[in-house]
Amino acid sequence: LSTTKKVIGIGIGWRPELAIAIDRDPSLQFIEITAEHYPKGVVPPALDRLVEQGRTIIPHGISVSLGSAEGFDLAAVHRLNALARRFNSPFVSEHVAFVRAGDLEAGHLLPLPRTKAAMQVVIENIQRAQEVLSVPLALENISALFAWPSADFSDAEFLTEILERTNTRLLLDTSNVYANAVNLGENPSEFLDNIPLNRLAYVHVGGGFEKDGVYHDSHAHPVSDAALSIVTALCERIESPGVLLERDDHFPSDAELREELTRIRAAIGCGQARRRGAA
Amino acid sequence: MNDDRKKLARQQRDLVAAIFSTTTSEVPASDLMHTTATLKAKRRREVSLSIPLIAEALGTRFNSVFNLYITASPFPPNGGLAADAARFCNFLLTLPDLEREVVLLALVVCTRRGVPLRFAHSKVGLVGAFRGRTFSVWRNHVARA
Repeated sequence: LSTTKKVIGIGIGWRPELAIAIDRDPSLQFIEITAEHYPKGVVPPALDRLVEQGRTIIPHGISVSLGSAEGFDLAAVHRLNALARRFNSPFVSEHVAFVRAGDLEAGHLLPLPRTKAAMQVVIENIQRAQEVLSVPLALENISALFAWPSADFSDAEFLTEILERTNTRLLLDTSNVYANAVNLGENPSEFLDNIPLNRLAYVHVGGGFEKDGVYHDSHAHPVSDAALSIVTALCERIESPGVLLERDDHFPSDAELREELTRIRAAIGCGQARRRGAA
Repeated sequence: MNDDRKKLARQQRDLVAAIFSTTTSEVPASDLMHTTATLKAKRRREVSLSIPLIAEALGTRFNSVFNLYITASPFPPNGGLAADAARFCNFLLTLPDLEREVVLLALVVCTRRGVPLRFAHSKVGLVGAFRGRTFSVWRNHVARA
């Protein structure tokens, strides 16, 4: 396993609407940027300022499509790598998913069939992407609104096998774990017990909403208590992970943002306290 | 491409096509219903945010017009959201019954995306003119004005 440092503390996804709040809050120790927002590699000066302040920047991809049978977007991998070099990032991250097939673009992360064939394809794609990357790659679990009809593996088995065979890090999205519990009947506790938490690079948590029995991972609402309970459950199992808030829309006021971050810290603290209590 | 890749490629193509149309895939249509609705809503919202003046000018018609557009237009393979918004504007210019304000705003978006805009004399003065099929649409608007 790579000995690359992992991020700790609280982080946030950088958006122009949150730039001032992020700049003013030194407790936000690591910042994730979405590589697709900077197609020509030109980044806002505010990010350089954050680096000068000692914050860690992590480039995050959403369009590489590592699970595409017809090949992933090599240019998007180069873009991730260029950003990682520019910001001296400890790693970059992407999803175990596909976003395009043939000449069709889904415009969204779609789940892979959890079959041996799909696993082999995604592993080969990741290995080719790793040849381009100068830093380690962290892979994120996605939320899904449907499951493919046949599966050779559970969600945890599929993710674990990919992480182990590609020697990649884990970006664990706890809100996606919650979404899959609501939408697909997955068991969050079992999932956490069966993924390689020793590979954890950092954690995502974001808000969503439930409508007609379906959970939508919108990143536009406050984080639910249920999603935070998975952060707590995670922190019962491991020491102080870095947890990053994703907020992409309906941006909160500074006060609301502080409250949201306080709730996340409380969820981490609760898990850590239980962990120490159990030790 | 080996057989496993070929099979997965077919599964993935069928799935993405089924999300945006009435074709079938391995995943039952009833299971894809929420994905389809979510992705359409996501595109609609993101396009409306990227061209707010057009969305505002269309008002309550925006959703229905966008649904017409999305039925015939999968997400563009290149250019992401900006390309989706520009395509939507191109689509608007093919509709016969839009307000002049909407047409003008759509023309501005298309022009900024590199669609050539020229001017021509007409009965009502100097008007914008397009090459190709959108010219007649523009002329219809001018004629109606």
